[in-house]
Amino acid sequence: MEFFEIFIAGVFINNILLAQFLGNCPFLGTSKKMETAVGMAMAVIFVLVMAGMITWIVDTYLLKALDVEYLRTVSFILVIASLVQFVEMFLKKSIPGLYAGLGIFLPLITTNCAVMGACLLNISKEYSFLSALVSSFSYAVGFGLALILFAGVRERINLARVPKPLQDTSIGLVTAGIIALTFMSFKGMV
Amino acid sequence: MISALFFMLGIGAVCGIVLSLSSKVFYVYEDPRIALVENNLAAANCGGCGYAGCSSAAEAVVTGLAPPSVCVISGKEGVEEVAKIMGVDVGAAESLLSYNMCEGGNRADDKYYYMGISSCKAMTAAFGGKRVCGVGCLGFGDCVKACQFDAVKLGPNGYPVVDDDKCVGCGACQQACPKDIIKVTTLSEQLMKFNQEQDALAPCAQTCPAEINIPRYINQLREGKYKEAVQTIRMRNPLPLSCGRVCPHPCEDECRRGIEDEAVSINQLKRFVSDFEMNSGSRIPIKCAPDTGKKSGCSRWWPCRSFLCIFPTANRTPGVYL
Amino acid sequence: MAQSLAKEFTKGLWAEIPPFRLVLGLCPVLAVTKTVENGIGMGVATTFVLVFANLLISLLRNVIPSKVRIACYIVIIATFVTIVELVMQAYTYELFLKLGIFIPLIVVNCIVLGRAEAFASKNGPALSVADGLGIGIGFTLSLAALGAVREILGAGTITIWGGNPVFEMGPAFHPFAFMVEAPGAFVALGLMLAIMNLIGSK
Repeated sequence: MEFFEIFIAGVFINNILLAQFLGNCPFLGTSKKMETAVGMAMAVIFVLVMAGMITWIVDTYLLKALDVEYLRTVSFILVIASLVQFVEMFLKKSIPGLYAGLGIFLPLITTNCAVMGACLLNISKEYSFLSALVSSFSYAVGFGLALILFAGVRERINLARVPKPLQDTSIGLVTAGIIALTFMSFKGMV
Repeated sequence: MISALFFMLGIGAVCGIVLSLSSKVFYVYEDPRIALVENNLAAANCGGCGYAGCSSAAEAVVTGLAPPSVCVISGKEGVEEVAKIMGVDVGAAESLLSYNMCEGGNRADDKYYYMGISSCKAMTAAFGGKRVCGVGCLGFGDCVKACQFDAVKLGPNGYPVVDDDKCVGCGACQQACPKDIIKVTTLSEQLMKFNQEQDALAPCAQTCPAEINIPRYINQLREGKYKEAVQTIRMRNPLPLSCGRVCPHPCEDECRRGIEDEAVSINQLKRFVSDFEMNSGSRIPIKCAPDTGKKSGCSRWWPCRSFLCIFPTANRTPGVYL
Repeated sequence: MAQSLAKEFTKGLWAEIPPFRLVLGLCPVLAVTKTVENGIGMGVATTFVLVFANLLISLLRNVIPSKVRIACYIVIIATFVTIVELVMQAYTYELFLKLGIFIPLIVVNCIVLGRAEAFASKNGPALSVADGLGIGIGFTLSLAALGAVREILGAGTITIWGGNPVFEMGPAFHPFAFMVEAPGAFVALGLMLAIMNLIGSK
């Protein structure tokens, strides 16, 4: 039951993009077309689940055991960067179809605040391994949901008569704000 | 302190070892020619070749599925380089250009006032567009948005104007237009095409056996652009001086103005502008298609034949058949 | 030399000011600008990391092999971020608590890595420091501006480092709480970006 709560909280209430502002740069970049948005969402789910697991293991069995918690930032980012590169090589060789679908988004995720932020959030909430896994998955699904919703709206906005100073990023941000407003209504659900 | 040092060294070593091992284990052999070919393609990822981006086109060339001239926008040198890498002969290719047939644009009345998405494709879904004429340009510029090379602009009259120097013939505008007004063809295809009943042409252009774009050159004359008018006529008919004097002008029989009062003097206007070129003292240069190494000649009856010598042709080749 | 130093420094203050002109590093901008104080604190921390990371990367640019360069830059930046984190935890504990996880997230801030990749890896140490300083101060100014807008509209006052409010809107003003919440950040940033575009294009 606790996992269900964590899942709902991660997707709707504490949506990593619209409520916690993590992962904005690829959000604005890949949401111009629906295909890139879907590809990016898949890639984030793929990477975030694995990164969540591995960073939890590193934190519990290495950082806390050796009492070097101040090295958390450095070690996490190293682990995440290496993981993404490894996954890219693995996909290219073993599952070329999947690589063709989401391969180009993988380098984009390496220095993405969403992945790093989600891992740090799991640690700060002191989750167990399974809770951390569910939480990472729910953050990734929330990110994907927000991204796909936004891409749908943005494709329509591109065809509308937007005044020159507001074009492109500005109107995108204002729209994201309105979508964030709708997600705010989920507060207090759990 | 020591534990921190060892920890960092440990993590660094593990990451390094895992990555270098996996780069050997998961090594994917990529034909080195693919990268070389890709360097010589235009790198615009326009999709004009029919492949999804330059890397896919390079792969197709290397695996033999596509000829070295697959890239429609790379210059002659690029195609030669690719042919050299693949070790094959360069095929001969003519450059594609985009041609716009609509001359009316804003001159047509609107059936209704449109307040929807600013897209030609969207407007076409509503009773075929807002223009009364039904086949004309709707003016929202889907072709302008589709062009990645900045070659199409919406002209002052509300139909697209193509910049021939920037156009590379990728075909994006043709796919974007819901009214099929823009066509991307080579010059030869354009010349060899006979007007069909269902083409959206003015009656004069439909009737003209040389298929000259009559509304366009008369418009250009009206605006004082004599040189452009000569070019427009010369696109379909290289003998405007002769035809301006002897052509029986079936176009004037079809001219709609004739219903009101008198037909527009299409033939006299053609004579005027070709005389202008003759008296200007210099020949206006025309663009030529690349040399195919074959000869051409005139091979049909027409009154102007009495002014020309007919020379024998070896085989039918692209050219104007009068 | 002095002229190019000045040029690199000032370009970060207007022509390439993040995040308005150089649309990078949006995550902290939206999150920490609930108040001016948080914004300035984050800006100073980022400036510190930018300056020192640029300096070290620029000094080591000929030594680091090209294949592992991104990984090396990330480790160098992460080291300085950890230093900043520990200093803030010791000396400015309330600010540290308010900024929360966004301090370690400076390491993945696109501005820092972007400047290291685009500038520090190709130019000398003095120019890199000037560039880092300029962009960092520009970033701080933008954060302060956005924070001011959000705080004035959202709470009606600007308070810096506890104590009395520096600026008050007066009793007749009803604060617009929407601005302090998440959606307000997006909308405020979008509108400020539009205003910058308007000013810039003129």
